[in-house]
Amino acid sequence: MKILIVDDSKAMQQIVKRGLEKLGYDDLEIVLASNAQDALVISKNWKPKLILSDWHMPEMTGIELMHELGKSMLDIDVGFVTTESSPERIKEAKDAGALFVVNKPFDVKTLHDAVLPALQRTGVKDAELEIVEGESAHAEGEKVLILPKSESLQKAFKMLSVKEILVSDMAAAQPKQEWLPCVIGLFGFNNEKNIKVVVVFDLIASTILGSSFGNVDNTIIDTAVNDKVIPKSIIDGCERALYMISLIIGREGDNRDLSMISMSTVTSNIDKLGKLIGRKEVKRIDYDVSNNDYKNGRVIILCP
Amino acid sequence: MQDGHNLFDVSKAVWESFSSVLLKETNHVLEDSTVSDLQWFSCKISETRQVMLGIDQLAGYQLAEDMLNLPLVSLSDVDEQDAVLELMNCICGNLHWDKSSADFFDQPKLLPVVDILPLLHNLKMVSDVTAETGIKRFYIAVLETDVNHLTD
Repeated sequence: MKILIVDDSKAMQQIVKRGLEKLGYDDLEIVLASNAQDALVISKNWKPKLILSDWHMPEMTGIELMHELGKSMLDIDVGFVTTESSPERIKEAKDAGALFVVNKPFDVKTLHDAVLPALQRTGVKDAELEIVEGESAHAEGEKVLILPKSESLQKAFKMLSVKEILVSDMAAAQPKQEWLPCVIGLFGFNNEKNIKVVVVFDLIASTILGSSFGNVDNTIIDTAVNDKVIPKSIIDGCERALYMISLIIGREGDNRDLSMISMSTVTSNIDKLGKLIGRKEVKRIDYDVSNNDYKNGRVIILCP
Repeated sequence: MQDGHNLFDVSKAVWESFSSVLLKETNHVLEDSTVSDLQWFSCKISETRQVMLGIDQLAGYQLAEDMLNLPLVSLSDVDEQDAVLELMNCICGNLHWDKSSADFFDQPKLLPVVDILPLLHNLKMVSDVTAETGIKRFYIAVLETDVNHLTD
């Protein structure tokens, strides 16, 4: 996981770096740049996954750096760590595609809440969710996918999970803030980019499923639920759970295998989630997932 | 209008987010004779307001030690000034003044000691606070500047 920190203050570079190191990623690689020009060169050669940049720097500002990255067609997530707090500047940053703006000074939790969604996504962008949202019906002659029954889902989870998971049907509901952060998996058929299935785990379902496929300590699970931050160990488990679901859908609905196009987390944009799952023409099933520790997690499977 | 209480609260919150040493308000008055003992930094926060920070250099070193997480002996004056400039940057960024100045931005800078007394005497004091970090002195003030006479 490559992260570039851009700040003209060495002291602030170190504070941000220490904050990131506390995330607990074993494979974190952090490079520091003291100005935007150096950051641009490093970005072209090293291709970080995420850039955390100061806003006000001599010669080139953080927002100018963002525009330069865009011109160079470098697809790198950018977030700001800055004293800049004016609504106009924050809007400018968001409009330019910044993932977040963290105000200095910050505490570690604030930094983690901002950074984790960027690190936990595996390539999906908000724009891709919008494509799913607006995607048209299935092509003519294409088979309609059959979504799994709750019993099938429970059996599938039982095959690989180390803890017992109960699955039952659940009435569909409008998204609620308490569902967040959600884990979202987008699936398509092999070698095709069209998204055929969207799977959503709410926070409770993410922790139940994400911790059931590996040895995740109970304190990590409790912290995830209380702090509403899904750590990498649980995200990894969610990826396996999504894979299991894709196998069931593929077998029941079509001979071709579904494969995951991308996985992401939605941390705050409940409206986006609402638009994604609220379309009436979308085929949707909601499942209740529970284990001994947590109840009423929600899994939603959609065929856009 | 920036009152002294708010100025201290912001300074304390920012200082203590970086340093393990508490910042405590004192009732001391800044004497002209002690001005040259301190290291001085300034930053404009609007066309008409300027923040000035006077700090014992050793307190600056203490701050740099915490921010950089390096032993004091390994630090240079450049490291110390970088830490205090970032402190100043964060304090100024968190002081809320009139909205019309929201777009205003200035980089904090180190000032020569000889410039300090004329500034403190000639500019109108909006608010100021004296404080201590351990036994080291910390003084911060917001001054009203006359844009017609102010030079960089």
